Amino acid sequence: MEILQSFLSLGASAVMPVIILIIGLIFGMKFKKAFMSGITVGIGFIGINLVAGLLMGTIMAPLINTLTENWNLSLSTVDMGWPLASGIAFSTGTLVLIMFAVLIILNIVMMALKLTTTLNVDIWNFWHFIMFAAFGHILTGSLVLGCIIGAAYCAITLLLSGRISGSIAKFTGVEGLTITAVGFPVAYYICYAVDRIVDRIPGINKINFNLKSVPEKYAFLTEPSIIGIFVGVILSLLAKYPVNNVILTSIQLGAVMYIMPRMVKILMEGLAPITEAAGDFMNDRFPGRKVDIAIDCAALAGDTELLTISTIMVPVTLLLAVVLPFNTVLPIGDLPALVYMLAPAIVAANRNSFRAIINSLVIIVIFLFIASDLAPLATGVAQATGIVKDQGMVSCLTFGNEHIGYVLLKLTELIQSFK
Amino acid sequence: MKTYKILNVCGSGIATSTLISSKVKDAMKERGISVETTECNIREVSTMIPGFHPDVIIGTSSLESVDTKGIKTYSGMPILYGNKLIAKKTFDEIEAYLKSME
Repeated sequence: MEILQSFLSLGASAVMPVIILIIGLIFGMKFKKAFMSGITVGIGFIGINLVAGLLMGTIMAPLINTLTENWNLSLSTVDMGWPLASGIAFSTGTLVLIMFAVLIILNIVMMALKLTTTLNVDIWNFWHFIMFAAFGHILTGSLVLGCIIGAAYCAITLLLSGRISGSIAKFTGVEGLTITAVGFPVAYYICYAVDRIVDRIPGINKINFNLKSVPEKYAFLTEPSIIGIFVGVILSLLAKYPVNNVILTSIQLGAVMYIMPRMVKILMEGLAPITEAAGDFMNDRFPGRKVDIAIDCAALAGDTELLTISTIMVPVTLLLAVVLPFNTVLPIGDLPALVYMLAPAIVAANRNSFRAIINSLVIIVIFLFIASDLAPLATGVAQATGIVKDQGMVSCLTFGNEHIGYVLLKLTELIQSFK
Repeated sequence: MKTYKILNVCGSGIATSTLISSKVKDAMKERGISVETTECNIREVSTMIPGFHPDVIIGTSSLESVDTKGIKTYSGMPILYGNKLIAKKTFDEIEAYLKSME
């Protein structure tokens, strides 16, 4: 037991290769392939650690301190972005192993009982459910309760996702698809409700225009590195840094935004064969049955209207972050990801860009609210995995899109307060 | 034997495109075709093409809005989430297309 404990305390880069090897062998992968997957995942974590240190320690800690001193801004939580957040979720050790088993069995049972038609083979996005299980673990102090919260989040998502496959089919032109990742179903319903409200406002309900694609020569503005430099310049100017520091901080932030996804990509390369094996395992369970396949939001990212609106929303999100009194999150890491995160806003608006912008504003306000509220739990998990050291608070806008998981955590908190 | 180049595209150039690369490399190897893959996000496609010279582009995002300079494109969705039979159909098409280029 002691040996096991001391091994587990070595952190993700040492522990996760072994866990990935075990998961791979369970799904029938050859030892060599599963071993290489594990090693690659470990290498990914070493890379993620390096860049997280640069982001949190070198750049953000002094920047946030100075911003707070100069402006009394309460933006103390760094939006670490989904790439780093997914890395943290996949570094939670035995929880990853347990949740893989729980989520796959849960889906198969729900399919067998005809509670859902959705086959969630979007294994990569399991990280959302693992993350909320980790939040639940920290909140309740119980690993079992944490896993129940993560599983309940997945179950509710599966119940809802079958119902939206019609809208997805209309948008993508492909039948039999749905989206289970990042709270798409709920965000879709919220946007749908907003749309119905706008319908009732005389005058406003008549506005309809369609934004075509950003001209190609401006497309580079949505590159993560450019967004990093842009935000870096604005923040370091606000922090009244001397010119030398403005330049240095901006290029450092641009670099983090560029390098972090590449580190996560190494992690992804290691996980790819595992997700294939798990996906095949699930597909083989239901031959010939009509199923909706869960797809990643990437499927929607090629849409030109979505690209255009997500570009406009980058500065708008920053502005909202400063203006909204409840917000403590400094948006950065997830700004390039608005291109997926706003997908439900665009799908629900049915090609009316005016409605799409209204929907986007509403869901961005929700992102900021939930991400601010989850900051203590997110920081707890990030520090427990050792990926983020004691360098201030972290959260991520993506969490603000995970309404079901958030409500489950809040209910748990409420029940706890009665005890 | 010629090595064919396949460019895999998704929203971020990180997640699903990497999954596709892994699958397509394995599938083509089984069919005795040597391929080299790389990944990028949907906004980088037009700048990647002149440097990488892909023979085929596979997108998990829609490539409709992108100028692919006349290069043959395939949807990555059947490969990514379909069962083996559905994925096989796309692999067959890609194999036939690559062989027809010789």
